[in-house]
Amino acid sequence: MSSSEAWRIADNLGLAWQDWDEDEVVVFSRGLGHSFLLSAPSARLLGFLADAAPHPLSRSELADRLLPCCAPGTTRTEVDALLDLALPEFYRIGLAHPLGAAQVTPS
Amino acid sequence: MKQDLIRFVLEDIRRITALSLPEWDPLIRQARSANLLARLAVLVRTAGLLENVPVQARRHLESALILAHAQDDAVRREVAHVQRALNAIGVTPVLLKGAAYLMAGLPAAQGRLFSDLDILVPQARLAEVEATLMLNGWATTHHDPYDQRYYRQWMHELPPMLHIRRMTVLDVHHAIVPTTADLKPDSAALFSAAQDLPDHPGLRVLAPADMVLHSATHLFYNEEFSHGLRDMSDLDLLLRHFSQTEDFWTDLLARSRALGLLRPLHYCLRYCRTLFSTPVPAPVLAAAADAQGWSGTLIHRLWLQVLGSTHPTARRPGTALATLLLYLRAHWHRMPPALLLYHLCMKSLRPRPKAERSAEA
Amino acid sequence: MIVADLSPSELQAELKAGLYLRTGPVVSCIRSHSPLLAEALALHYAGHRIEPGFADFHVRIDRPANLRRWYRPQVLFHFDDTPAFHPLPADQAFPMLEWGLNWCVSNHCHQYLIIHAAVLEKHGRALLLPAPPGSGKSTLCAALAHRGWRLLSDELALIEPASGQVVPLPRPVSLKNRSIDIIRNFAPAAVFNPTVRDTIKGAVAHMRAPQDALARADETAAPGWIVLPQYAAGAELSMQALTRARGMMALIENAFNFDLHGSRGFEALGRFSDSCRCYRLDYGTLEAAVEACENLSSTPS
Repeated sequence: MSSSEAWRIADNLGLAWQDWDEDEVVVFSRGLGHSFLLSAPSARLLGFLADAAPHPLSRSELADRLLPCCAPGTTRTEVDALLDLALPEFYRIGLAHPLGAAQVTPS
Repeated sequence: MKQDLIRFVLEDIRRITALSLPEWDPLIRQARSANLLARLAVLVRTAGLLENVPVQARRHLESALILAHAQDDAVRREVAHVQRALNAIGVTPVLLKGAAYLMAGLPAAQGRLFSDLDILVPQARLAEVEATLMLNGWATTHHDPYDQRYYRQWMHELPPMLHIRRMTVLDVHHAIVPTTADLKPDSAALFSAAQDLPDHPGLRVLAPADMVLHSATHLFYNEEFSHGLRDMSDLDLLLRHFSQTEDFWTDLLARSRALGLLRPLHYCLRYCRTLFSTPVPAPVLAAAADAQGWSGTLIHRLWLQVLGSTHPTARRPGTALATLLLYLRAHWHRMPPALLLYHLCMKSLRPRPKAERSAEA
Repeated sequence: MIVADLSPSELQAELKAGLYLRTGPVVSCIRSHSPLLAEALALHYAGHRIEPGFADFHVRIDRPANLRRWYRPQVLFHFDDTPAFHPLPADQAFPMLEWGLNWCVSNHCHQYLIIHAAVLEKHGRALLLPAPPGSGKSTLCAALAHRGWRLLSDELALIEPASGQVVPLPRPVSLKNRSIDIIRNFAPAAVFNPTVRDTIKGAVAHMRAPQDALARADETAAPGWIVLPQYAAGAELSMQALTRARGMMALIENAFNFDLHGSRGFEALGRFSDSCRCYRLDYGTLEAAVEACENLSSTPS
């Protein structure tokens, strides 16, 4: 994945968050009718995409924003690895999609 | 005493204020069995009468309101999926029945529980529509070759399509009555009169008169009446709403003549008046009746028998026979006699499918 | 009036006409001609109130109208005169009634958020054990109900969305296979009806709800603990803290009707989990698990 690849949050998600400042966050999408348990960094990532809507964010922008939120000493490589895991998962469950790819219609 | 309480209170919702707790018991059972509990709940709430309902009964109304609200959300989601798939090939689906009432914001959507989505698409685009739906996760049901032939050759719709992940059912129609039926309303006329939804570009609904005529035709020329009272209540709400517009009654009569649907209109107006005191002007009722010179006293009595609540607390003797006779009548109108005989034989010879779809739209 | 006020023949007569039985917030009108069912009702529902006038549900358990009256007789559960499940052998009339009554609640009482969980109460706070079958939830529930915890339900946690209170639905606890003898040994005072063998869930016996569960059936409980139990033979005891997010997710995943409540349901379960401490409990012996739960209830939150 290239660092210029841009990602956008899916339309009409109607997100609600339950965040206790723990390692995990529950996110509910009224539009999808589903809840998701996300790791705190993944939830942050989704939050950045939601705040940017309707505009997309590039991978490097996402990494730039995520890095200061991570534990002290977290490297850029580690953040990139996190994006590698989280973004395809968002795509699979219908929360976000790379620009140019069709929005999936999740179950 | 046996009493059709659900019809009684739908005729005038303020009547609920006079009900005792023991009367709420059969009312809730009748409403639930007629699939009208949510509608009852919405009407009571809209009339500001929830506080007048005894708390034991109110819980059931609250439960039904939650169910109805969730279903509206689910239908909106499903409509968006269908729209996305079909707009991509340049087809604007015409929503039918429940989904149309909901997306058009009509009072008939209130508390209307239904499970399947119905759409109308031009017959010329049918193959493309089916293909694109399959690409988007809908699969055909009824794999039996006889069923496939039954739908594709004789019916006005594709075999119901099931979405393989969401498990939702979509009925794709190309006409509003079966190809083989003796009524032959012109589908092209329905499409050209269909209306855009200002809030939902990419979707259409039938024109008001056509919406009423479709609902009436569906009820009175179908072989299944388990939702008869619910469907009559829909018609009552549609008529009350549309008749606020000037010329609606004139349009309705003219349209029913043009589409050859005067008889279902006659039934619809007559029984709406009988069941719910729908304010149908007398000249309109007379015009719908006179034009066909119809005098089926027997049919009339059969309809009154099956259109009320069929719950044991309200059921009158003879309902089963009336239902059977109207079932046969419906088939008679849907198919020429030779074909009907063939179809009924096939149905009786084949083993019955294990899981039948329980809730019809 | 309570069920115990009726003589066996009066109860049978009442059951033929329709017995209006209150269990927690629900009144069910039960009709049946089965003497076996009358016996089981007399045992399990002795302390329950009879309240004619309005029933939330009308159910009937009777023989289907077919020729199998004498040869392997069967019973059929009717919900408001419509058969709701496949018929079962006649000796399973009582388990069928219990499953049927649970079905009525989980399908029709959407004024509550309904979680598939056992619920008990101590010091006014609810302990929820949400878990799939096989986790030992019912066994642990039955054991706790005999060690100072008040039984609210062994199957259905009814949460009022607005208040977050858990509403009791005290009914017999359904135990399966080996659990039956485990609880008989653990709590010799527990009252059981005869074990029904060869149900789809194996051997099933019901344990009567303790008296205080019925006496305090109108007392709701505030959120307290969400514990995900996991039994494994020989397992070391471990009570491991979970995030509230994970506790909340367990409620969502085990809910019967979360999808119907939408955003409001999400907020309600969020508030509920906010007031809870959440754990995963692995255990190999019932004694150890009960003690671990006891420790939870005595530690201030």
